[in-house]
Amino acid sequence: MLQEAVKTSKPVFQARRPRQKQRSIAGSMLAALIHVLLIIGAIIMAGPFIWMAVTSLKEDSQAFQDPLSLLPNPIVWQNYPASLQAMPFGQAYWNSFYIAIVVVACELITTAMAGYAFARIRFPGRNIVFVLFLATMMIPFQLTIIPRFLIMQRLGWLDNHLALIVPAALFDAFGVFLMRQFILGIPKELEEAAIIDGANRWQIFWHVILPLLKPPMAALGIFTFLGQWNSFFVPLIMLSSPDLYTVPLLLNQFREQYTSQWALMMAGSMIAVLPVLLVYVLGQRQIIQGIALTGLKS
Amino acid sequence: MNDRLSSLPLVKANRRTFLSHSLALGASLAGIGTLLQSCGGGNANSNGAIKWSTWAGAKTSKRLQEFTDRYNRDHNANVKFAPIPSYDDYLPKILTQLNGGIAPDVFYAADEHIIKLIQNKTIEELTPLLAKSDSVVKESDYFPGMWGAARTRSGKIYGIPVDCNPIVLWYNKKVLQEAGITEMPAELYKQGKWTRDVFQQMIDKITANKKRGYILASDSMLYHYSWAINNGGRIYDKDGYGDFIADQDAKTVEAFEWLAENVRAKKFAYASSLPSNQSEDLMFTANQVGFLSAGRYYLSTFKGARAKGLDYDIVPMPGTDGKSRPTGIFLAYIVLNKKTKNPTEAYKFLSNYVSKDGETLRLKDAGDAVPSVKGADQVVLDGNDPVHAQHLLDARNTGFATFASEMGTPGLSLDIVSAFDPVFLKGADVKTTLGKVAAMVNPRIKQAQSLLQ
Amino acid sequence: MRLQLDVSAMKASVHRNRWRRTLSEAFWGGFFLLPQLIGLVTFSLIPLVIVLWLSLVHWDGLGEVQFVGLQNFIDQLSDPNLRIAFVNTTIYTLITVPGGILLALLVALGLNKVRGKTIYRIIYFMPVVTSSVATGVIWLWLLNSDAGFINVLLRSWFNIEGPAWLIDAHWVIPSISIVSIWSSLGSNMVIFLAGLQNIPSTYIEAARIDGANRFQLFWKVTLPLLSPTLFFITVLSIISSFQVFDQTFVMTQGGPDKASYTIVYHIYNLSFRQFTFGPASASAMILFAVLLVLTLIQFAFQKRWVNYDL
Repeated sequence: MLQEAVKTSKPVFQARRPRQKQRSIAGSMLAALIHVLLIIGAIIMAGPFIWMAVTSLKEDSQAFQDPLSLLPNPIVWQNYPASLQAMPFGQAYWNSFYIAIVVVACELITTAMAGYAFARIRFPGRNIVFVLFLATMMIPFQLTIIPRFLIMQRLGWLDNHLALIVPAALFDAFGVFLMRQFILGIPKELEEAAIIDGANRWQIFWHVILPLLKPPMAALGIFTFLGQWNSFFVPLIMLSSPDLYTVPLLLNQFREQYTSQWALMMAGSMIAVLPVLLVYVLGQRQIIQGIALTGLKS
Repeated sequence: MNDRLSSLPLVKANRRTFLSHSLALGASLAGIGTLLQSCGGGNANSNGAIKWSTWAGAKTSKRLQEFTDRYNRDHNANVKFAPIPSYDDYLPKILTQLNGGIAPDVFYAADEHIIKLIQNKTIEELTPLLAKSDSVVKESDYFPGMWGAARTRSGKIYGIPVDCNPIVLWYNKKVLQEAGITEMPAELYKQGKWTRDVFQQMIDKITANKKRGYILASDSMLYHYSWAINNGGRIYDKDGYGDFIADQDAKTVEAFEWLAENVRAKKFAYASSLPSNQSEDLMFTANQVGFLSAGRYYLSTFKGARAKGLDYDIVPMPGTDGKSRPTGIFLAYIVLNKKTKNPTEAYKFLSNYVSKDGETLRLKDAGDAVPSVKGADQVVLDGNDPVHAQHLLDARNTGFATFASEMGTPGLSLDIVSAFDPVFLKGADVKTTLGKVAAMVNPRIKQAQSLLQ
Repeated sequence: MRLQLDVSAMKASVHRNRWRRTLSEAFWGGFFLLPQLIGLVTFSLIPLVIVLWLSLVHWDGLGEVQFVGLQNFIDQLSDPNLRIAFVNTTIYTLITVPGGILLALLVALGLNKVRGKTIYRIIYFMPVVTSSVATGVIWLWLLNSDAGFINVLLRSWFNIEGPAWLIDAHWVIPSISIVSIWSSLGSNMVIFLAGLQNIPSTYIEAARIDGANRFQLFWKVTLPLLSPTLFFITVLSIISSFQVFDQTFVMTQGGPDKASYTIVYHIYNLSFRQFTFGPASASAMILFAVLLVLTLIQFAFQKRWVNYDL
């Protein structure tokens, strides 16, 4: 009968509204148990962050001898200015920030353009090139990173932010895919109206399509921003001068140089992590929706 | 039709257009800014300035910075010192910088680094520069054993030794005296009686007194090789440029077996089996061990411990007949970047760094090495610490650098050390292990040599 | 007669228009595609060709290039370091993937049934957005064998002497696994959650009406309907697990004594520390081949257990 139910019923998607649970004792006990487990899990998830925050305000000796104490005694705000002095975090912040912004800006435009081309323009070889884009998503980046290093060497872009910005801004197969899917879903009537009015492709793209791309652009933008901000391997290889470092790179150097000064290191980590967490908390709906999107699209 | 137009987002797009236009403008400004910034950063060396680098911790950095400042004052120069803190990171960082075109004009290369730099042709051949009449130093200013891997088989020199650390035996007088030894090794050596058997007797006495006799270091094969050579054996043929033949040399095998036996009997300690907070120098200063093989690098540590009662001296490694044979020397070289923008200034600094005056300046007071250049010996003998410091100089005069074959093969030295761990940690058979090492080493040497031009 | 002329003229003009249209489409296609196309060619296609060539030579980026044919592959396949790396990475994957997926699934199942999803989601997802370097640094401190929070807790609350997490060769891979699972739990959980919420409640209701208990409900209804999502996550997890690098770099540098030396660390070591690009490229290609085979195997098996009947 279950099979019949599967075949005959036309599912109406009301997944977002779970039906009213029967208030049985077993039911609420189960719910309570689940909550307890989830809370334990949440403590494990968030615990390290709390610990980082608490330790960053301790003195080094207290951090080492008394790691269990929740309250720093005394509260050493000095760790923060000391961290900032020990490493040029300000410079690294600026580097990470402007690189991420430039990449996001360029990448949103170029992927939207490419997505539009694949979705709307019937040019010869369109399908082959699209499949090519998709295929590259399966290449592990370790395969291309060595040649990319050598290409940057030939271009003279080693130890230069261009080595980080240009590839990310100009190549994002996933973004192209996302944009194409979205644009395919835009009703053609809107464009047809503009075509009748004599607009050329660029004007159509700019005035009609682009304004409608807010949802994928928002998701892709935040995704990319976070990805660029946290990016470690590529900057590790391309950059060697500390004043060009991005935040993760600087934090790594911090770790190498101040290995045993835990309180200082935690302060440094806080400085590195806090802005990202803030952006995350503010934009978490978009981010999480984006991730869920990738899971469902496949 | 106009209605159609107005129903399109074209009208609303005015505000959006503005926003997207300004975003594009902002992005392109930022992009242009980046380009300008990156283009403008490459002309640092156009005013005669040079940059030099080495591996250096905080203390050494300070001293070398003072040296650099003094050089700048005395020669009206513009030399910048940019140390790389970690030795393990040093070569990768230099290679990365070479790839990025931002490598220093002058920099250090350890004996294990220099062959790679010769191979990839990133450093300048110094032989013609040394031969020029206005060069502050000449090839003959340096002891013959100093060149090692820095000089190719055909005689081309690519790096000059900055200083060196010849291996001698340091002994803790207190530990020896407490074990009932009355005549100190240095005295015995003077009388021509310092042999390996005598050394063994001392070891036995020390061990009977519940201290360690000697610590066999595990960070380099040079110590083992020195023992083998002092026993009359050979390691590589063709003067160090050839194959690993230690397994076929009876005296070398015997020397290794002697080492292994003592380690097994716990008379020698194998350095890597020591707990991490008990390094060999700590054991020495804590009067827990009688002998150490080392260069001059522990001098400042030991000197500082004199206040706590440490008393020590040095003696050459014992040979078979009371006279010592050549022992190993740890070396580092200074090299010239082929792509330097200021070759004259760079060579001037380099040659000055390794001249008599340069080395004396660097090595006096808390100096932790022996000069590689002739005529600077006073800096070792000054202060009379250790009393028989002359032995360091003698060891240098007759000693040998690490073999070119081994140094020329990346990672080989450490792999050989690891290959001997089973012998010293688990009692594996010496002859078989030497055979295995030969089988591992020789093909790799051949392959590396095939890459050497 | 005039009509005939008109027809052929019309045909000609239609042809011309079609040709013009194709040309115009090609132009516009190229125009819009150009930036990403340049990116694709320069940073993906050309590098693929280069890495292929690199794997056949000996080069350090600075000196001369020496052609050695397949020698790099032979050397790498018999290189004990690569073998160690493979073993380590496989063990790591065997711990991280099932463990991580199971936990993520459990959390998603639990979260699906209770209120307050948003708060939990925010907290569970925090590690995902944190930089791997920061994560590594924090856990380096937590897992410190003497003064790290975990061992101190074990000591003072349970009187157990905790292991030397990152220094003991037997514990270092599980330790890194723990950190990885912690980092990625949130994103897997979110995908599972979306998958769960996409299961039409009517199916669940129908099964309940049929008298299915909770257990049967899960095994016969939920799990099969979740299997596409599960498949997707498994494939991606295995791929990313084999590519583990950041944790080994920040926390252990492949140690102690190569106990956490992974494949990508090996590639990094060969290419950017020893600057031997030939063997490094060969290793990278070997890694790619392994990943390809693993993925194809999974795709082949999916018919057995993945249920696309929706």
